[in-house]
Amino acid sequence: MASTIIDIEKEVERWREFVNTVNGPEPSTNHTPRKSIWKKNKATLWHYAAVKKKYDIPVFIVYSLFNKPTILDFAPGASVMEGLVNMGYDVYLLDWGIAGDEDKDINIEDYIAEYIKKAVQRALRHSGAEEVSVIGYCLGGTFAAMYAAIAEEPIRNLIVATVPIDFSVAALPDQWEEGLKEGVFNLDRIIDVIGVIPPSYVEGMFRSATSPIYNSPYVTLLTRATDKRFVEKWRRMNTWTKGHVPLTGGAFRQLTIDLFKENKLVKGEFTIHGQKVDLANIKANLLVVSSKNDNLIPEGQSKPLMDLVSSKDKTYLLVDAGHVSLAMTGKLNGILEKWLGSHSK
Amino acid sequence: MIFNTVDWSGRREDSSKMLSHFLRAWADSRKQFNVLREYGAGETPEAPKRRGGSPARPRKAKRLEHKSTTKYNKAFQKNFNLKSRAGGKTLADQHTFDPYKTWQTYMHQWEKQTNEMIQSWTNNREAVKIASISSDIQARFLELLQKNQQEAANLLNLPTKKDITNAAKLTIQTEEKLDALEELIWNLQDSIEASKNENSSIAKIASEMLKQMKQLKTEQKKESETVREIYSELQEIKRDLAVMNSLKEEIVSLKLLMSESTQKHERELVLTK
Repeated sequence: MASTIIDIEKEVERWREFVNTVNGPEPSTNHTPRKSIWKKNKATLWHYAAVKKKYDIPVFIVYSLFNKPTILDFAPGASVMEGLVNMGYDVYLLDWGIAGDEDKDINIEDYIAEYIKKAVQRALRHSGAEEVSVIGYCLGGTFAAMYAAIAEEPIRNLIVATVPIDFSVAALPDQWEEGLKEGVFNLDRIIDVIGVIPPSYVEGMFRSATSPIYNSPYVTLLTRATDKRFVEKWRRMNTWTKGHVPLTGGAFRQLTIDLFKENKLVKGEFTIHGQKVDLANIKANLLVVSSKNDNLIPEGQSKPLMDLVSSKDKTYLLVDAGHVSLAMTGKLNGILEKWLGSHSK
Repeated sequence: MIFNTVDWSGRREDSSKMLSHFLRAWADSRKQFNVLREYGAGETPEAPKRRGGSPARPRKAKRLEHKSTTKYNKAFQKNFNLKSRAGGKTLADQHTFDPYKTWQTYMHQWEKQTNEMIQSWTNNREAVKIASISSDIQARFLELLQKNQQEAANLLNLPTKKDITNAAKLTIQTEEKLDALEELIWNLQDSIEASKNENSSIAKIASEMLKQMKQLKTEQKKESETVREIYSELQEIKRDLAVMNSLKEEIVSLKLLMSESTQKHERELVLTK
């Protein structure tokens, strides 16, 4: 039968492409033109200038601590940054950089009071604007919400996507969740010894929570290795997925003990350098976006924010997407174009 | 038993349904070859007899024959429709068997099942306890390793990661101080800008005041001239008054003289009489 005869040329091409893709260099990232306007320790505040400025209120983006924010500028035509600058916004992105051993004591409080707050001040000074819209993605959304609750700077809009707020809803298997909450693990000792959690550990944590065996991307690559567009997309995605960054011990300690174990943020017991973080202080216009197929941050972790804030204008959206595909497929851009456009005038 | 036996050994051997899932997937994939075959079709009515079974009833055989061609006809029609839409693709192109696709399906299912199996195996207190103990052992081991490394490096007079970390911390502190200084300079700039603005507004007010003063001065000049005129007029009036007073006095003295002369005249008249 002619259809089942192996096409040698195609097979050689397939395997060559597969091997080259897996072992090849990392693809280029950060396509949207940007300029560094401030650096603090490892963090950088990037400015993405609007192509044709339409809105006076700039956008300030905070990303998670676990990965690089390159997912927000994934590829030309599939980039949150590109979308925003094309819409006419001046965009500022706070990139946390890669933490070193000397940063092991930096905790969530420091990240908010010493980094986000100062970066927003710098962005306001740089743009000359009187107000700012803050966008937080994943754990960056948690930080953005915490900052908005204590901010003295004028925040017009707060947008959080796939954000963990209520940590009583966990994505972990129930026995592990109970074990962690009951203190079966001596987290303090582990954190003290390790100092900065290496990327391999961070990846291991996520893998064990979602899928311990993770071969399907390679299988899919081999199956579709002759599809150039797919291979290019796969390379970018794989680079980002593997690009976990080290997590400081201080941040990990607060994340596991204060947030995950004691759920202090929802209870209103979390403090930043002695200042109580009361989410009811948030009066900015609020947009919360959750993804239906997000197996890392379930909807139940994000939705409670709606009832905790004092904002008069608040919107909740449940989108048919995954944790990462929300940003990657342009769905977030579509939402921002509509919602942010009407709230930035 | 280390793992939770209730979850695992309480069920059948294939409790995770992995095996049945694989078999179903395999059977599904076989269907791709079965464009012209259906269950029981493609055999002559004698075939079951040869295998030792009883032949199908004539009615069923007729029906099977009918069914075997129906699927082909449908597939042909579908291909024809697709061909007319997509243009140029043949039936063989549409239904080419791709072993990678089948392999991909198997692998995805295997991965999903295996992950579920791992999670069901490890989702118990024993596994949590084991992880806790092993993390404690790892922590203890790392503590010892770090301590020994530090001591060895001290003896060899070598800098350790800790020393480098401390040096880096100093750099960060310096950077923070520079940032604080920059912010102070900004504040100073802002206050200078603000006082500049204030000064310019004060200068504006002062120039206006000066203008008004000048105006007042000219007005005052005019006023003083008027006053001077009034004064000279008053002086004249005073002088006139003084003249008038001297006249009055003269009149009075004249009056007196007149009265004296009248009296003298009257006396003289009396004497003459």
